[in-house]
Amino acid sequence: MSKQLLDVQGLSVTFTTHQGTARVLEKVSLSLQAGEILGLVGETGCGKSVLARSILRLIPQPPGRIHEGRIMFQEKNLLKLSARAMRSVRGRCISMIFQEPLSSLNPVFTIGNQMREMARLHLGLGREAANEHCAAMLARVRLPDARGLLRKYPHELSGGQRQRVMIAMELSCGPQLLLADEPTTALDVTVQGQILQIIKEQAAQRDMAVLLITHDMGVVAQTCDRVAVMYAGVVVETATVADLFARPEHPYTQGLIAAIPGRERIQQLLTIPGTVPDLVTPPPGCRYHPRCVLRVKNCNRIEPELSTIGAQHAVACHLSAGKPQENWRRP
Amino acid sequence: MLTLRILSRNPSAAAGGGILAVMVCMALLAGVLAPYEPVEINLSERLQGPGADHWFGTDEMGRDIFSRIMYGARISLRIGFFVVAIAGGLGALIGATAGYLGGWVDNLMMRVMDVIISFPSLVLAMALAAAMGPSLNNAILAVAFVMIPKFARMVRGEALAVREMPFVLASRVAGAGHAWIILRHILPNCLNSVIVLATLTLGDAILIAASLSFIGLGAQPPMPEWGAMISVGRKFLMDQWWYATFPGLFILFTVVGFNILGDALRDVLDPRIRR
Repeated sequence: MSKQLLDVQGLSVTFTTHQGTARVLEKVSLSLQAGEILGLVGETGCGKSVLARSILRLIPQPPGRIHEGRIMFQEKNLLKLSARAMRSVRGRCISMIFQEPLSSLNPVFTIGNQMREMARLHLGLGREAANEHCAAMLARVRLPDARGLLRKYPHELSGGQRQRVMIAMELSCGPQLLLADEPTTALDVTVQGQILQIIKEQAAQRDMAVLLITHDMGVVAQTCDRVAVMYAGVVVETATVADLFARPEHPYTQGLIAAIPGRERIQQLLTIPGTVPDLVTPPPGCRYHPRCVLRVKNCNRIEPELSTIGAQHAVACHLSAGKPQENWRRP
Repeated sequence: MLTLRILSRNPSAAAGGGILAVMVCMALLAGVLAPYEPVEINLSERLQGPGADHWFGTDEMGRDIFSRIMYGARISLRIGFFVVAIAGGLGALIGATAGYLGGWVDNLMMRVMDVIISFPSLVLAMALAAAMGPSLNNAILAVAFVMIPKFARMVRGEALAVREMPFVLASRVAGAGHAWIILRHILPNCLNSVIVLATLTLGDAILIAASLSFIGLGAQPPMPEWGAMISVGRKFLMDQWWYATFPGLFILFTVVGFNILGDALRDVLDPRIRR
């Protein structure tokens, strides 16, 4: 196994609210190698975006607070860097693209104006060189007429074009890690495929790691090498994509996969009963147990540890500890 | 450019713009068009009524009031411009910083603004101008100072909204610092409102500056400042009505011109009232 590019260990993040302190991330650990695409899936509000923002140290503090853990990136602990050093990591080494390509570009400046800003900030290019560089970047995300595009304003572009501009912009300084926070949710399905394809291509060409946050299992299957499933601020299962879909181990993962709308289930959409728990007072023991159809008596008392059950497959569930599971189907 | 086209179709904007265009022409072309020198004393023709030789009459030194008003337009417009530039610039910067950073910076800056705003603006400007000594430049500074909170408060409100926009976060992800974000992202997105408020404030600024000159704290004689002219002309109001009336009318036109242009601009530029 090659060296880890990003290694998050035991990261806990809390947010102070009027209701009390919400434990939004609870001892989250995950790692990424160069060139790897890791999917991070989970329901809305399970802490996916908070994790990505914590990596860049961009959660608002207060109310947020990173309690414990380390975020090792290229052997440096990002949580120990000075604000200035952190600024040079952002954009240069780690980039991020967002869900809303519509508003991630400043409406009052041209595309070129905004793209040059990055190239000049981090790469120290002159005006002409920056222009050249940006046009080349736009061409790489398959946007035709890059030169003309640089002179346009964001409102003159379609959603897909804007997201491609964002990708070109974020990749323009050659980051080793791209955090993609639901990059395709706001786009229609055909454009979605193109964007994912571009992300995949760029990751392969540049040996760049991608943390792809999504709640769409279909996107994961299409794009990722490995998957981490999060539930209520806890990583409950990590596995390779093939493994996860063939042998989902955690009841929550099984539920997620069963809930993918498919052709044979067109009549009735399956859901997981119940809702995401309140993170101010999370359920004791396994955070999933109130909704779990397979719970046993230890589930509400002991918090399961993430334990390895196979090659690159780890799961946090009492049921999986030790004994191999039958291929379980939902009733 | 679209803005200009919409504006030209709006009758009140056209009227306001027209008045101001006349004022600006008067100010620029005073040297060419004015029939007399503004400070040329001619004691044989003192206090003449309006007529063919002197359209608006003459003052107690025999100076032509029409010429003095034309030169006075230069002074008034300059006052307005500098006041708005200083107050708008500083106010916008303070507001954007306070709104974007929030927390104690916001609190501190806005409480200072509240202190300034809690004085009646004319009284505060008077006190400041008197403390700094009567001169036109000091009057400009004094008026600019009392105008700062207006801009700061408005821009702060806008900045609170802009800072939540995803492109601000995107810029931080790209490694931008706070100063960069304030100058590049927050301020440009507040510019529309600043332009509207600046136009509306220009009228006020000219009025307050004229008031300061009226009580002797602004422009000093023999400067042909409108407020100062009214101040002297007041003594002759009973018998020589034209002396104070014409400068007063020009102050009125200018202020009204800026106000209706500002209102029309707001209708066009302000997204909150856009239909």
